[in-house]
Amino acid sequence: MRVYLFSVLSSALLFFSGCGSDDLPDYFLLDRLRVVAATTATSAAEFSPGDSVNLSFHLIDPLGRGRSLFYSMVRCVDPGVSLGAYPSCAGNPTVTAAVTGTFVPGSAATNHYGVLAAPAFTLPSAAVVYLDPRSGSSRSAVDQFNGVGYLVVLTLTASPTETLTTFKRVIVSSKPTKNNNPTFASPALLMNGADASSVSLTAAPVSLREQLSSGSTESYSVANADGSFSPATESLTVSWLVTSGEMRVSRTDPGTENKHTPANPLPAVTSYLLIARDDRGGSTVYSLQKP
Amino acid sequence: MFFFLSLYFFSSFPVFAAEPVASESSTHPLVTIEGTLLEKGTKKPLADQNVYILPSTNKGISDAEGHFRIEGVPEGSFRIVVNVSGYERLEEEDFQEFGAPARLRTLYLPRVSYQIYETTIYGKENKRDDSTRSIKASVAMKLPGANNDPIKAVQNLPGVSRAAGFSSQVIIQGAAPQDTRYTIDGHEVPIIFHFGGFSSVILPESLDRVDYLSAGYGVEYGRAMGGLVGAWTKKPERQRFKGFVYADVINAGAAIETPIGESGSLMVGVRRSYIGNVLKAVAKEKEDSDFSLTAAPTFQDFTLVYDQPLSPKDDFRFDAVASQDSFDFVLKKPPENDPNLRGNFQSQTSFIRFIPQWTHRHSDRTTSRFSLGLGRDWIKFVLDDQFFRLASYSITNRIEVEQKWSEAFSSYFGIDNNFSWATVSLVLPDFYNSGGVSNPTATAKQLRVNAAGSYHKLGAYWNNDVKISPLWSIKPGIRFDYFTAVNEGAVAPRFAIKRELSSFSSLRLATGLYYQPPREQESNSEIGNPDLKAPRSVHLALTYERDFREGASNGWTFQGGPFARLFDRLIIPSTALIDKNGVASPENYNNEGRGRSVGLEALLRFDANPWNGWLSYTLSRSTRREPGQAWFASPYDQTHNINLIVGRDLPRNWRVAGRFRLVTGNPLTPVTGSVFDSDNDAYIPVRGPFYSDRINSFYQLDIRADKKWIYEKIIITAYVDVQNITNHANVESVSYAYDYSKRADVKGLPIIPSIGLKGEF
Repeated sequence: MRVYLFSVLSSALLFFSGCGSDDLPDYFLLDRLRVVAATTATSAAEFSPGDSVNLSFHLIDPLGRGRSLFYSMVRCVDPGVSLGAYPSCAGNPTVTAAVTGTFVPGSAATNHYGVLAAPAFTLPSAAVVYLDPRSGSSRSAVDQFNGVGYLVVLTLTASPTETLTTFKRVIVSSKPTKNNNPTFASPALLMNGADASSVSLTAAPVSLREQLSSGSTESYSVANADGSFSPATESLTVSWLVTSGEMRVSRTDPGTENKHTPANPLPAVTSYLLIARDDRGGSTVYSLQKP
Repeated sequence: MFFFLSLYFFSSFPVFAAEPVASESSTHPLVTIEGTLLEKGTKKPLADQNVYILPSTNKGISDAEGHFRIEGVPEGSFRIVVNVSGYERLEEEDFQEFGAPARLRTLYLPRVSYQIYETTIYGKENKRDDSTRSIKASVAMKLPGANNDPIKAVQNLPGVSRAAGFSSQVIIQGAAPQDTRYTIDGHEVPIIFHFGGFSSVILPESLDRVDYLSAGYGVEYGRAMGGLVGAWTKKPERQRFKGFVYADVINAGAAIETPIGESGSLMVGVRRSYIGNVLKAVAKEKEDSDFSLTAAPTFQDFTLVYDQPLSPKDDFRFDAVASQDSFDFVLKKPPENDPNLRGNFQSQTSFIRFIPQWTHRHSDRTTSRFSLGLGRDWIKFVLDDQFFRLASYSITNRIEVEQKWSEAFSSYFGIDNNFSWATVSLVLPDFYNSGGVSNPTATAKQLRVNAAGSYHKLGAYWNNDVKISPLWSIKPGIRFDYFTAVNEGAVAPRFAIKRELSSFSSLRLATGLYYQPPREQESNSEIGNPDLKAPRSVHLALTYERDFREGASNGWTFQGGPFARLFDRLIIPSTALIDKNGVASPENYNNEGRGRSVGLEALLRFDANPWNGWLSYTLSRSTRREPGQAWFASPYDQTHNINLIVGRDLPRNWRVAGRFRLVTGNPLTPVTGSVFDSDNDAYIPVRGPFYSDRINSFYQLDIRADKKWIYEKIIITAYVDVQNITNHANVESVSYAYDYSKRADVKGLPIIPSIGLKGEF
């Protein structure tokens, strides 16, 4: 069984991963140009055909010294990335014209973290957005209810040799109750049990715990192929990123304690970025600069 | 005069039991000496051997149970002398007083050597299928690096690719791992190795031999484009009760063999691993660890073999094999490039097989064989709220009628069916892999399946063995398969021709067509493509054999030649949509893959007591092609594969052996970039040309030392089997940074010493 082989291989790979990966960069460490998340500008994480959408791309360029980044953005109906299709709009019959521009992310005070607000766009009509570009026919009613993806692909160019590409699926569905982005509570981050924004950072390790709003985990319905509906509950994940030092784990379940060991000596600014994601395309970002 | 001549005659020569001795002893009362002659350590009765009493020169002969009785021995002191070829001479002082109570003596005769030799005499082996290579289990267990497992020893043969990392899959002549079938007594089993490849699923001591079938194998087997590895159980001990207990670094086990009734025999054995408990204890020490073993990795198995002749024409055998692998752990920290892999992980794989077999000899020319494989399989894999569960029943049946038309012509008519009924439930990401590079499961669509189905594979064959002249023989055969999952029938002709070049050399050509059904998940209507066709392969193999010993027991033998395979209708993943009943649906898989594999293999063996060994070499090229891609190296392409094994028997029951392996590194697909999936917090790899890169070549030296202590009723064996004694850090795979910006080698296993102790009684 392929799945069984996968489990065996995963197990083997997990075992092996401890036998040769010390030289690989850590996910949590923000030491290069990265797009860390793409969020919708409003609370809505799911839309109907024809809705207007504002996207924000959260990126950081800690070593870029404030350089200007060239960006290009295209949109198209999802070609089936979750099934293995390459995440690109090239050759897609629904692709839009590229929107280009330049962006300078933040300042040294934020380790050059910034939010690129993409120009607002209007989602295509149902006839287009529910189209499967591989077959040319419309997606099933089940897929339309559960939601289909409308890809927004962003390409950032820092230099002729440094280009990165990211994409976000804007979920479009026919369900009456749409998904919302999770939100951070106040305070969003606890450091050693206290509001992180008021705690001074030293070289000593600190315990960290995020706080999400009580309504962040939503319940929803899933349409089944036989026409029935099943209840489901979102599963949230929190990603932890920092510009220096070492994070105990890169990803946690909500409310799980993490630990950060700051760099010694402390840099001028330590930036924390937390991204909370639900498993339906919703996300939110919290940033904190220390000291 | 005659009387004295008679006395002279009888005093000069040893006589059979119960004959009186010469007149010199006639003044002493006569006694009877009675006892049993056994082989030291094994307690095997030594039948038909002379037992002498000196100086009176009485003699007795042991019967089938080793029992001897010598009458007319003068009372008092005497010497018992036994001198048997292959055994050390026994001479013991003894005493018997006239009128004293009778005393049964047990004589234990030690062998000159307790090491096992395999001797094959060219031309005397009457193999049904000349493409079969057989390894006697008792010999294979002593090979270095095989860790006492004869099935693992198959990997030393030419044409068998080295499987990477923990895997001990048998990859044959450039085919894929799933193209190899594994059988026990002719019946298919789902797995042949416990997890990690530490050990096979059947007790090695229950095996008689392991067969390896490669290119051009006969029609008796099918449904495998690569080949077949068949484990065959032995007849348990019929003469006496015996058994063993052993323990090594990885596991411990025990078995007994015993006669049952007048002609039957039974063997029962169990094994259980404990290496996982060691790992768990080590893992427990690291409280802050991201990895926590909640249940130790464990494997265990049970083997039963019962053999019972029912009549002069009927034989019955019954096997039972059960196997279970399990381990649980908590992964607090997911891999950097796949945040989906975290949480509580549980895995369990179990199966059981009952294999009754009946052979009936209708006459000297007609024999029928009937056997069933009744089984149940369970697979469970859980990762937090994601899971895969499978339970299946299987019935395999083999029926064969052998008809000997004449001394030069025999036919075999047979049926080889596999019926299975399975229920599957899963909630898992759709695992996408292309070019050997997997997308993170975090980016994959979630699959939800609850299904039940039947997957029947029917097979029938007709094979012929025709000796058309003293120098030429042919084996034309045909096989028919039907696969219900894809509603496809397949006719597969196969042919072999052999020319005896001399009394000690031959040339054989074998060719044929081979079909293989799609795997269950590939043809499943929900997650696969039920419209798939069965992949197929054409084989061609030319084999030259030469026995340089020319009748002697010591010397060299050679076997080798070129092989070629063409594959088409190979099943590959697909992201396309197809029209299913008017609805656009994912294709999931299609038959657009093609492949070819060519090579040259050679096996040079040397047997010259006390030395033996072999050198196997394979030169090969295995390639694949998919739509939109030029021909690329297959993931199983290993240009050079060299195995050198040398062993020597030393005095006092010592044996040392070593194995050196040198294998070209496996191809891999480079990752040239990545795209960030912001919704799933994972990077999707951008693949370069398929399998255009390679890891470094593999080389490893293993050594093994065995020492036996032979006591009257037990044999103690201690062994050390050290794999990778030079601690060379072979690269098994590569791992990538979270964004695929950097790559690191994943090193394989370091030096692994295995120490074991075994007691046979």
